[in-house]
Amino acid sequence: MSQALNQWKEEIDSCPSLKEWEDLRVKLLGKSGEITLMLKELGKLDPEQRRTRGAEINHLKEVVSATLEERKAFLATAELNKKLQSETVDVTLSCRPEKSGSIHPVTQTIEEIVAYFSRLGFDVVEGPDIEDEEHNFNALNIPEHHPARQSHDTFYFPPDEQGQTKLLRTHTSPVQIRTMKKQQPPLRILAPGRVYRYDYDATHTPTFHQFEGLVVDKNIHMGHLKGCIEDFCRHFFGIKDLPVRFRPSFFPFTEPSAEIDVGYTREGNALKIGPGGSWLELGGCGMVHPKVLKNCGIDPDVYQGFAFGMGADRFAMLKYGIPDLRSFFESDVRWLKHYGFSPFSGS
Amino acid sequence: MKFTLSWLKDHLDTTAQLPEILDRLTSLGLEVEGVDDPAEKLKSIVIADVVTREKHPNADRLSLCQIDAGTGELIQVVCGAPNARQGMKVAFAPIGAVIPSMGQALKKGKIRDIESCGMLCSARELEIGEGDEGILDLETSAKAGTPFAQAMGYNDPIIEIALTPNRADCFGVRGIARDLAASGLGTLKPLPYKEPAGTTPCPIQVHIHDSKACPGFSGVFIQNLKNGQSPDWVQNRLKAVGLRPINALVDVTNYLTYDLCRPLHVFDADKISGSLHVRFSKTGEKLEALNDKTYDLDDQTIVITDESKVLALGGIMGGIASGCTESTTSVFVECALFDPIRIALTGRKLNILSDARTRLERGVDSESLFYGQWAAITLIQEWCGGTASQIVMATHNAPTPLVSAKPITLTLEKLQGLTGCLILLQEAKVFLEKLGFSVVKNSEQSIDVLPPSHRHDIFESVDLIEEILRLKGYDVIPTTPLPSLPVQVPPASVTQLARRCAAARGLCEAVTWSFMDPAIAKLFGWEDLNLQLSNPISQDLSVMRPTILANLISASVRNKSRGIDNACLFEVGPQFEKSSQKKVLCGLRSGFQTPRHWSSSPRNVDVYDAKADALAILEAVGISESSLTIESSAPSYYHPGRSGALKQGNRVLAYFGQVHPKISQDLDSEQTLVGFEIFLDLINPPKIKKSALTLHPYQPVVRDFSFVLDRTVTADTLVKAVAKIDRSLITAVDVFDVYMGDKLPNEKKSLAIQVRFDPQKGTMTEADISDVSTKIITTVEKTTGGVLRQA
Repeated sequence: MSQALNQWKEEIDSCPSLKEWEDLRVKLLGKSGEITLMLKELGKLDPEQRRTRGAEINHLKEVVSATLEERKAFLATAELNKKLQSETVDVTLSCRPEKSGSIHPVTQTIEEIVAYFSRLGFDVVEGPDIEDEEHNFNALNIPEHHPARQSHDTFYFPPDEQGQTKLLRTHTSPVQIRTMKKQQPPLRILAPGRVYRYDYDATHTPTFHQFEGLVVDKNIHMGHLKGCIEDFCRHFFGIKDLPVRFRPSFFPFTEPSAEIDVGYTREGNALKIGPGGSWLELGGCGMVHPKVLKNCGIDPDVYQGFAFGMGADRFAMLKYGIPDLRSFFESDVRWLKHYGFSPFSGS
Repeated sequence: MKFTLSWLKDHLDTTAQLPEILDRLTSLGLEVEGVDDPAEKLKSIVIADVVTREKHPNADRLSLCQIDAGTGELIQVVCGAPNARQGMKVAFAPIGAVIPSMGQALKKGKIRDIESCGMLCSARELEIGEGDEGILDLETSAKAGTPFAQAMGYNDPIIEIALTPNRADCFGVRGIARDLAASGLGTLKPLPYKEPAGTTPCPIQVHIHDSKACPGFSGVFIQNLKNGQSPDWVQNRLKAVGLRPINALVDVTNYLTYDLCRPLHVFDADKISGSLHVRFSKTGEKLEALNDKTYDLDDQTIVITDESKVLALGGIMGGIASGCTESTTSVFVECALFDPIRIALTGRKLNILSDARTRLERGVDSESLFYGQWAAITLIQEWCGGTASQIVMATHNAPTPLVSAKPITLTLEKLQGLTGCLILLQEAKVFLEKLGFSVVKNSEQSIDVLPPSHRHDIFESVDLIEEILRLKGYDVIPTTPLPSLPVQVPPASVTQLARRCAAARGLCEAVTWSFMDPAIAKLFGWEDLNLQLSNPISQDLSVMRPTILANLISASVRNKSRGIDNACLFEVGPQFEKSSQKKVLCGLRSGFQTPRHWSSSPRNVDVYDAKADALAILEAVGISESSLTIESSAPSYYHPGRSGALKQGNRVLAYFGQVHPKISQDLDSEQTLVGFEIFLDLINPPKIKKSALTLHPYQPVVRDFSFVLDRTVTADTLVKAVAKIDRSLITAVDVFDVYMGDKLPNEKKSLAIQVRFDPQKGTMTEADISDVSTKIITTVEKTTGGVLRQA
């Protein structure tokens, strides 16, 4: 019997496929399989012989079954491996194309600025691009013949039926006026938006972006203006020791007025914001002129505050190293992808 | 405004060096724009003598010079200038010198085989003049070897400052000196001019017809003078600030314009007949001005006339006919005040930007009627000789009574409260007085101040505060953090969410002009002339855009022409109509949505891509598709059969569709274009709160139905009709097949839908399913006329 067992084990272990394995199983353990037949023969033996013989055959059956199962598992794995091998693809082929979009650097910049000032309690407000002379000039203490009015290079529309002349806002400052006419202090607002000037050359575009800040309350003084602007500039450019300078200037709607400079150095053709011997002008600011407050129905004997205005495009250029302003408006997809931001980049 | 250092020091007694002066100017608000120190760029150029000059042995046009440059030995130089001669004093650049116009150090060289050890320079090469007439032939007694800049007076740095419109007084060197002195950088020297003691009355009288236009006019008659060249130092200064010396009489007026901010005019008195009049011009009058242009005048220009003709545009420019020439022997000097607004209007209208206009339209010192005139008389007599009459002040036809200035009160509380600095009134008073203000009342809590006659920009206490701070320096203001507020940082805005969603879907954000070409705007329905600019940059940027889409299409065409196909762009910005504007997110896809790729065949963009964009962005801002209805009512620039409007109630939140093929063609686009516009103003910030959700454990059921419908019935109608039957049970209705073809009549189509039931009360029995299925079939039949398709 052990000779038979050895032969069967050999047969099982050399069985080449699951199909032949099944045939072998039937041949050995099936209804009329060899081992099954051996068990059937047991009945013919006397009880003593039957017991001995039975134990032997059962042992034989167990060993054969186990060997069969082992072989089956082996064959199954081998066949799966073979199948998987046949399913191999070239994983270096390119993926199905997905379009990737981007956020324009100037809107990314504005969102960063908005996020910063929002945390300080500034409300974001917007105003119309088409303005009137009252909001863009008169209420801001820029009377009709003031030289400052000429320097604004304003785009005008022809007078309407009522004889009123509309214009494209030359700065975001009219949003100050609109807000203060509606709302009494305390006020903290930030007004980003498009502005327009009649100017088109290497460093000027007829449309650009400004952001305007306004803080009015009872005890807001020039020290607060300096603190607010310094903190903002250092935060925006991510330079803790960025030098910020305030220099007297003139804007009809603020008094005293100042121009804001930050330090920079020049590396080749590129400007690098940071500590250095030179100063770069970033924008204007000052204490809101009492006449402007009065024009908006706010009592300048009770309230005072500051305002500032800066160019968002310039901020984007300086922070992100974009050399040419005009390229902002050309919609070249290569540029938009290069200088643009992922939709998932924070602000 | 330009001036030179030596000129400044005529007025300012200071030991401060140039860098300190420059820093102080900027911190005073007189921003330094540039400094040009000619001595710096001329530092290696020296005076030399040409000892011998011979012809170059190998070239007819060149000469060979032996030069004495004060080094003790002769230097050989090859020179190409025809005017080189023996005994000439020249500007010599030795080996290693940098010639300003070349910017490179000079090397020893051989010219036609002869060694040349330096260069004899022309005015152009040294950037001190334009002349082309050869090398500089210097008239100087300076010894060989003397630095050229020192010997020839090119050692005066030229400073240029940018002036803000309020600082009219600093259009004169004296005003600048006054500011510097007040800030502690030296002392202001007194003016040297005294009232001249003319003995004879002025033979020319002056009448002012409108005192508002011309509040004051002083004149003087000077005879027996000899016009010629002004002194070298004056010519040098005029040249340094960019003026051309003309003759002594003209140079006096230009010099005082820059020196004292006092524009003057000098008439040739022989060309004046009778008295002078200052009046408004009459329409039709003409003047040939000193710039050789003839101006036709309206009735709004201030003119100075004699009895018969217009002589000058008051405060702007004189006329040729009464101008001074080399042969002038007697003059009438005008020193007057004019209404700044009139000057500005006339200057702008006639487009004349003269130094006189620049100053008078900002307002000059009324006191300069006196000291300005004294200065003019003094300088004319110094430079040209002559005898001056008594000064004549003009008579007014209708004098305006003088309004005496009201003092401005500055309180300590305001001074400290606005600046945040502990400045004391005593210190403030000292600063103000140094600027020429007079303090008329002085108490512990406040001072009353009168501004000086040269300041026209001081009206109230904040103006005084700026003056004080300017002089003290803004650096003293203590940096103070903003008082902190309890802040709730707002969630992302609708605009921000929409923008980020658009970019996440593969669109690149562009920023295009708010204005566009009217020819293109017309294609998009623009017809409102109120939106056309009066003064556009150019015709193609002259109309406010009625839609952003047009700009994005142009951008995609531009990209295509640069080889970038399939541009996908969006922009968030204003669209204009009538007098209002809308904030719109507009997107555009072009060409292939899926380009050539091994995994699938390419597919052009179609209306469903635009619809998907619009719906996804609306979803991102909290607007669910189920709250929207779709109508085929998009504007005419979309394909009429392949576009739609997404509406919530009566409000259109978005349009989407294929761009009208005619428009694509008119804009030269060869690609398929689809776009969408979302009206962000109409969308409220999404609610953050969520409603409660119960999940049921019962087995969902999915059943398919196929209906035959008229082709005019939209899929949306069918889907909505089915969904409405039982909103709690029917949780999804999806069209999975559309068929139009041979197996159906011409006007019919079949839509197959998959309906999902999510029972809430218990697992559905076959009878339940059968009931709701029957309901679906009857409802569809009732609302759409559709019948179940027989297999």
